[in-house]
Amino acid sequence: MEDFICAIKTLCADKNNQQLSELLNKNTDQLLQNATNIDQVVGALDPEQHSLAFLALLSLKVTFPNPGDFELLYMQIQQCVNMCPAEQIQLLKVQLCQLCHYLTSQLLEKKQPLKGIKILAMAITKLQTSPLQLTSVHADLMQLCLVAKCFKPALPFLEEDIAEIIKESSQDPPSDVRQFLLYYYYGGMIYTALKNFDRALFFYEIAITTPASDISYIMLNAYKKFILVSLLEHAKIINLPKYTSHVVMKYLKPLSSPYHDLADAYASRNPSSVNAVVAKNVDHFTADTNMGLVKQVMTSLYKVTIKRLTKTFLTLSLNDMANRVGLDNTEEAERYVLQMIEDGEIYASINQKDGMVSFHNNPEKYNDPRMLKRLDDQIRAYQSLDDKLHSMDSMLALNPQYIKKTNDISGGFDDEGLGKMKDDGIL
Amino acid sequence: MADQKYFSPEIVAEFLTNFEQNELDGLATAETYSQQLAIYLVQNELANAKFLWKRIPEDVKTATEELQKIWTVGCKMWLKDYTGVYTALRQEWSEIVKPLMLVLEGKIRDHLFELVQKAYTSIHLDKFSLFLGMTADSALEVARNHNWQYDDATKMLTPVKRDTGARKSSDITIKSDKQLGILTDYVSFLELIEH
Amino acid sequence: MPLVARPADQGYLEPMQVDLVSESQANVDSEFNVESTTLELDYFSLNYAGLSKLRRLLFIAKHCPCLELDALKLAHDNVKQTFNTKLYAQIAIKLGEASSRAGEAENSQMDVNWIEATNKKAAVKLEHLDTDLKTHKANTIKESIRRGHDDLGDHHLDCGDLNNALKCYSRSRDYCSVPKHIINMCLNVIKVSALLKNWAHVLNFVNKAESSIELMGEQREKPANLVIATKLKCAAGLAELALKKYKSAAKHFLLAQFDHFEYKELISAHDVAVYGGLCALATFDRQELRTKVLSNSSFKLFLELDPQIRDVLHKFYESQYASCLKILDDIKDNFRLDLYLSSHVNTLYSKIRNRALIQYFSPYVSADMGKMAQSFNTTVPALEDELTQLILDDQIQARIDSHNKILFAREVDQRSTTFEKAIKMGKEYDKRAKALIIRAAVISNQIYVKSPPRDTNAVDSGSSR
Repeated sequence: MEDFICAIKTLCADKNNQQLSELLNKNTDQLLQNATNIDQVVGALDPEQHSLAFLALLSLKVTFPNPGDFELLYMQIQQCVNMCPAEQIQLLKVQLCQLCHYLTSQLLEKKQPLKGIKILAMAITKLQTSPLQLTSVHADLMQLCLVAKCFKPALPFLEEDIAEIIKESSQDPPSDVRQFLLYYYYGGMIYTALKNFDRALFFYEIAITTPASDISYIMLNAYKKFILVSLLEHAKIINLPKYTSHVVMKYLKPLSSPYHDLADAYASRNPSSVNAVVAKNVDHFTADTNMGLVKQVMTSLYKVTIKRLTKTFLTLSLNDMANRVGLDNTEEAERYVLQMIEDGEIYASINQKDGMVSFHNNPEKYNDPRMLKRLDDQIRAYQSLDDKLHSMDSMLALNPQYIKKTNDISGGFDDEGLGKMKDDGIL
Repeated sequence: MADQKYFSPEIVAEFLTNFEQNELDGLATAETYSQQLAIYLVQNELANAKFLWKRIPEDVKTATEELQKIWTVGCKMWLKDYTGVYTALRQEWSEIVKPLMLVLEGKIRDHLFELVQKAYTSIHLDKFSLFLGMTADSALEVARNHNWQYDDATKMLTPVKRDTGARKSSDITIKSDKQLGILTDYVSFLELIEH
Repeated sequence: MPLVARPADQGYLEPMQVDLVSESQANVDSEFNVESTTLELDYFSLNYAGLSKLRRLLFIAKHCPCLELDALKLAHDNVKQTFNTKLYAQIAIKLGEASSRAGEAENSQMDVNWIEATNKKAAVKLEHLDTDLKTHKANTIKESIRRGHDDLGDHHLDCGDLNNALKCYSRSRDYCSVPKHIINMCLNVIKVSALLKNWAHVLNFVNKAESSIELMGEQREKPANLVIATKLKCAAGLAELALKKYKSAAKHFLLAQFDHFEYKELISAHDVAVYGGLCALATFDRQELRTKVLSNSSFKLFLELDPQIRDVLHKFYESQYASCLKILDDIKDNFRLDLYLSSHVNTLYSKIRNRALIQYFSPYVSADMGKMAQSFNTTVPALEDELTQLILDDQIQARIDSHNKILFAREVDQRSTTFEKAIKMGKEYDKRAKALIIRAAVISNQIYVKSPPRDTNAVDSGSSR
């Protein structure tokens, strides 16, 4: 045992990774067959100096049916993630991800999700060479944040626009679809909870439009939430991009018919038909844990109708408004108008003396330096995005595989996205 | 007692970060929860407040009456119960949250005053005093200080609109040569697309 | 209702008739009664012929109690001049019922002898025509075979067997040698298809016929061919009307030449004026109304046949909406008794009303809704509702001051709207571009949702919340 530890330390000091891995693999059968032995070795190692061995041994330990005391293991993982240098972790991505997945499942089981958030956040930053990279630990972090109902630590990660997906190992299997889908599904849920609906829709959309020859439950659940959030944000179901797999459209719709019924009722702008659909499907919505969103959809209908009124009226009595919107009385109408003014959803003023509401146009005139600055910032952001797309395009054009494929048969390659970009008329 | 200057926005934000980190490290206590919750309310981060309330362990909630009371305030804010919020605020607060709750009450009153100013062209004095959480007489005085007209017969106030044109735009000015530069950038970008 | 409903007795169909649609569609909103009307039945005898006349009369009989008996009598007399014994039997029964209700007994007997004799005569004629056709076929004289088919078609039509008539007319197609024959075949098919209410078919064959006319060169200007051209326009107009494409219906009717009008078996000149006038009112803007309708010299002649419709058009154009709408209201019942117009009357009327509202307001910056309501024979609240809908549909650019009951034109700030649009576009671009970048990463990492093994895809969504 002592010799073994010594050998590890020497190899680590020499940075002889090849022999180190041989040593660890060779000893798997003998020394390292139970958790206590591993704890002993790990205890003698310094995570900063002997990080490769430290990490490898821990990842071995979590595969045991009985990995020993969880508190100890938790501390070991914490030590490992916090102290192992990033460049060492980069060499053993698979092992670190394993540790993270294990930790996540354990903390969820023990109902202590909060405890894992910091560790996973640190693990992700060490796995990444750029914040634009997606790792398989992302989904774990989002899940912990969701279950813990603690969203702030998730936001710095969610706000990055992913451009790359980290390959954890050079060999197969190819990247994990499940973790990918889960990241976008959970991310959408977090944004939904924080009422950032626009961004939530984007996340759900990514999950739904993942290339597919079959439907996963994650996609189905994402689609259901997509419908509800879409109603909240746009008062209708927004279109999915053209490259959405046709199986998705074929199977998702019939599998989420209560949601489509709700959207149809919503389109009629009639509160009682919306209520009827909800009453009919209340079990379904509850089982999907979407009842909260459905309730938000129900109240949003009044707001949508009020917004429409602002387009048709300059002034309107609170009484008429209550009638047109389907509210019980003028007080309720006044309350809605006031809330919408507060949230900047409409521009209006209430006249209590006459019981009237006046609607105004958006006071924004787009003519001050503040707005100019904002526009300039956005234009610049779009320009750099465009540059990025161009460079991706030329990279793709130089890809030998791509050239071969396009020469073989025109249109055989999976370029629906980039190739069609210009045709879609967005540019 | 800590005076209100002590609770400048920067310091409050710093406190909050500490509380949040403590919580993730598993070091949160009833006191830190109370302050964290109160700060979320002061910052008007109601979603964060709501989810903090949801994740505070049950035993801490039941043992700490004050926590419950702070959340009652949050609830009223969440539900936009503009008049009920003052009742919820009128409590004997402990020293650790009292300054925060005072700041909160001031903020809510300012916010609601501005809201009334924006949303009403005429408002009944009774309603206005509910929005400010004060007696009709004091509310009337506030209104008079802002040159609002008051009709004794109908008890109607006429709020004076704020001049929306005078936005704080002075801090962002773009010089004309820089503007020209920006324009050049756009044009060259567009020409690039042409090719 | 099955997707394609077919009557049970319908036999084999020629391949070109695949899109046959049953009549059951038309009977949707058929339950109504018109109490009084200014219609005169004599008019029918002169202006319609054949099965179309009978159908129109029966439609009136069904929906107008005060004309029921007279209409049925007329139909009864007319049907006896055909071989259509089935329809005769129906009419006779209805007439019997109506007569006994009116206390007149003399019409109540069904002439069974006539039915028998006619059926016999029809069978003999059919056999005769069949033998003729066979002889022609044996002699392979193309022209005679074509005529033989046509004659058979005519006979079936006379017996009221529309499907067989269509079959025969269609068969003559293979024996057409000159454009004239093709046109003749088309007209026959159009006639029967219209009676079968297969409007897509009608339009199809109108197109065929028109392209054949194109081939005739200078002969096009011959009076006989001009009559055909007008027939085709009218048939197309009728089909578009039935398909609720009112604007294109109007355009077709407006191209009919009064001097060459002659289409008793389908519609009358008076119908052209009414159908064309109403459709134009419902869909044309002021400019089109002037150039295409009011200054159309041929259509003017059609309009002379119905002074009321002529007045409506002029008053509408002169912005005298109150009197325009008043006249329309007065003649509404007559239109509801029209076989082809009936189901469209309400839609067309509301479209016309909306056009009037839009035009009324178009020159104004603001309008008093009280006065406006007066001009449109309505109340202010009802007007407010109508306007709300029009504003929401973007048909009127205005907003309502409900407090003072004034309608204000909405000044659109082009500059701000442009900015708003640009910002929206930018956001959309941003979103799409970012989605594409992710997608590129997804594809290059071969992330793909596959079916088996199923459970790896299952998410334990219960534990996530």
